[in-house]
Amino acid sequence: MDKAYDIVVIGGGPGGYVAAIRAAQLGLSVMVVEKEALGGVCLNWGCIPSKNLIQQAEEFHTLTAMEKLGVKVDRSGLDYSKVQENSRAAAKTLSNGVGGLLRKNGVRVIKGTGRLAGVGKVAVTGADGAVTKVDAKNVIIATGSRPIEAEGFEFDETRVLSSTGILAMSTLPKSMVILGGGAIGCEFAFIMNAFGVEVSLVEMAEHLLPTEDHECTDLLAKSFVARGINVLTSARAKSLAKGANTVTVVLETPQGGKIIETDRALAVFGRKPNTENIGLETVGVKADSRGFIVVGDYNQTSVKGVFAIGDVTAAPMLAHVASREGEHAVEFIAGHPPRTKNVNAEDVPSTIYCEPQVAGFGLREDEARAKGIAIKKSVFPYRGIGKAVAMGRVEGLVKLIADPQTGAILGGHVVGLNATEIIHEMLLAKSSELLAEDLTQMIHAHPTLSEGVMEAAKGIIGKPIHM
Amino acid sequence: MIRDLILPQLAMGMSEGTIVGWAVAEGTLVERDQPLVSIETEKVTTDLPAPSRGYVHMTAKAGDVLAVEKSMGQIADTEDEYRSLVAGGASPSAARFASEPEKGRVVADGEVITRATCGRIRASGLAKVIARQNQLDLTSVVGTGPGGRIVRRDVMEALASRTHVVAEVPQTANAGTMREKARIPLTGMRKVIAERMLTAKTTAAHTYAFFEADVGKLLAARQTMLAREQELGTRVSLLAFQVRAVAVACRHVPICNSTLSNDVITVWDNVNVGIAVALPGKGEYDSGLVVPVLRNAQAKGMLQIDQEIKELVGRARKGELSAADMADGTITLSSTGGFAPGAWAVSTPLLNLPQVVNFQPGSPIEKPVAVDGQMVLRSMLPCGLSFDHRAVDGAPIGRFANKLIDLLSNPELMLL
Repeated sequence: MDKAYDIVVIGGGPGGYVAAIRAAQLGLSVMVVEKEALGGVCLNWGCIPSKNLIQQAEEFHTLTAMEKLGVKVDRSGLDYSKVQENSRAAAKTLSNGVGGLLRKNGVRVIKGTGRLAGVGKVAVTGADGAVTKVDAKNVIIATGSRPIEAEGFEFDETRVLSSTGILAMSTLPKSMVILGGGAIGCEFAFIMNAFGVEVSLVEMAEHLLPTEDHECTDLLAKSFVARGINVLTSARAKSLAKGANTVTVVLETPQGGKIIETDRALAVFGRKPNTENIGLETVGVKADSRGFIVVGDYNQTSVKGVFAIGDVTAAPMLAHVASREGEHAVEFIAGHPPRTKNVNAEDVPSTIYCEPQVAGFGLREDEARAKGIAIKKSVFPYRGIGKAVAMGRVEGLVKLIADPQTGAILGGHVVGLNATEIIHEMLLAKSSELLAEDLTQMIHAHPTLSEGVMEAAKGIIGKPIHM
Repeated sequence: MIRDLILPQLAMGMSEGTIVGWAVAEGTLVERDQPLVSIETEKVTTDLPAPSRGYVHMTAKAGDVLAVEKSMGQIADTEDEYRSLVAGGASPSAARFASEPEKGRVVADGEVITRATCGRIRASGLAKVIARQNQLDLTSVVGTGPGGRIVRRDVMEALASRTHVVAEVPQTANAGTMREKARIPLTGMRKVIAERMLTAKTTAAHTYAFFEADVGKLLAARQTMLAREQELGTRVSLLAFQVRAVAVACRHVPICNSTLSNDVITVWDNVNVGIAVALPGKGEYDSGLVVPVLRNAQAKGMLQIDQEIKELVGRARKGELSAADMADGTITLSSTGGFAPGAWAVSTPLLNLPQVVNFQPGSPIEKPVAVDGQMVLRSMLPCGLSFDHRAVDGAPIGRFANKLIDLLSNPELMLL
């Protein structure tokens, strides 16, 4: 390598590849180092393949509706390996697409494991063990995260699965226990249940999706129970034992000890940053006690010219956060620093794609109570939305949280059909400083689910019409 | 097309600028590069040309202090666009802020909304509500949101600065037996001087040394040069000798030619000598001070030093210095020679941070000194020197002072 790149990005996930494309758009020379497939966990072993599984699960589930119309359905021919192949194909298509985008923008992609090797240097170890040294004026660390492996719950990927293992799974078990009721746990509880697997979903906190609005998650839990999922909240997995063909998990619940015997366990306790063995120490990049890289304005690390974005930092572990952070860092490097120096967590939407979907941003009601923040809330149920009734999908609610003094939108939460799309209107309103009143004055098409947003906003300033 | 007129960053470290005045009236059709607005930054005044041909709409007025990259107004390609800018169909000649209330004026409840709904002000819904609740007139607020929209942070900033603005009182006021002569606002250069001096005084560990040099030989050497003024093309100044002496002394005691910042002392090869130049201030009573930098004095002969000093001082007095002219100093020379010729007068100059030495020669004075047991009259140069004891200790300063004394007393050594 004879020239120094303006930017070398270590990691080609949704943080890294977006940063690289943005850098190329701004006229910088840029290289991406990726050890596996472009697109990272999100695209290959996370968001994308799981969304494909969810779609297939929903389609399979609609057979039940067909049966109600008298259609005779024979489910015996379901070949889950084909379902799984579909999801791999979707991931592959998108990963190739990312490769094409990078090529089109003139981004150099190098295959291998990248690590910092001193100031302005990145060492890339190829599959053959050969090391290439690259000069970089700036380095962006975007090495992402991996599943947390808890002691006693180590993954063997046959009976004790990680989120990666379950995406690689090509046969359906009869039963499964899912340890962890966060986004991944809820999504796979839905998928497995839809394909007829007997599912137990175990969450340590009082509510599923503990960082979402509790009114929404309570509705989700109720819906899960109605679908036949065994939801156990405030339950802690104490131990796991593997039998010949079974997995036995001992739980501690408020009602006492409980034993669950299933075919497989999915352990989704969270994720941890990939910050070991990437040469942070060679230049003195600071990380906190949990391994997250400490960043300041524009995602600069403690070392000049070294940036960190996405899951390696303590920001919410979401692909869209990583992407935006990548853009921020690159625009700063290119001399066009964005007005906001960091991603504002209040403006980050979280989205969970099980059915019913859950989405939210900003302040939650329980959070406001805990912090003593005065709020005005409005909740509008899906059963008041004409479209939801027509579709027979009345399970859901739209919740808006506003400042009682100014009417400013502080938070928005939706559970129900298409929640992950509906959320954006409320988020745009918040980030553009529109008031609840503005939402009520915009004409919403009828019949749409978005009318629920208008009605919830009306609830803030007065009374909704359809309730 | 309508473009924002943004206050550019005219110099490194510039964070805000004061609008001295617009060269044209509201709504004027200007040509590209026509002088448009005069901006006073920390120490210089710069005339900005129009970036394109168009009709000018001003949102900031003379005297306004704006942060860098904030909008001063807009320039519209067509008259129609200009009309849409001033909205409500006002004619281009109707200056918008001719009738604009002063900052912080209390407005009747609801007035803001009336004005906002007729399209005169672009502000977010939340910004409008907060403005109304705090009785803030949004016409005085410059928007920084998308497309120049006034957003919450702009209103909060305006509210934060409001108390300050309301506190403004007429130029002079008489109370009881006290009669004011003038008020000098701490703005522009005055403000920068105030801030820098306070920072210097409260940051550095100022320590002072005083000494005298026998400059008889130096004055004689200068006389020789003055006799050749025609040939040299310049009246070589005393200052040139002093700059040369500092440059040579720094070569002997390099630590004096250093800067201290971020817990690092950087010792420099280049001796870039800042030369304090007194300037007239804004009014009758104010004064000013700038420190242009003579670069690489260590590599320059007396003649070149003398010419460059004259060129820098000349531009300083005309207000033509750029920020670059004042950057990268490694040591400062602030002579009191011009203030009190013939008097023993030096003070304890404040350091020009992050530099660690400020050398202050006074003016030569004839006084009796003991030489070989005899009282004789000699031309002595009183000198003051401030140093940052965080970076330099007494011993090196002693060596530096002795070197200066030696060089100033024996000017032939400066040839080496």
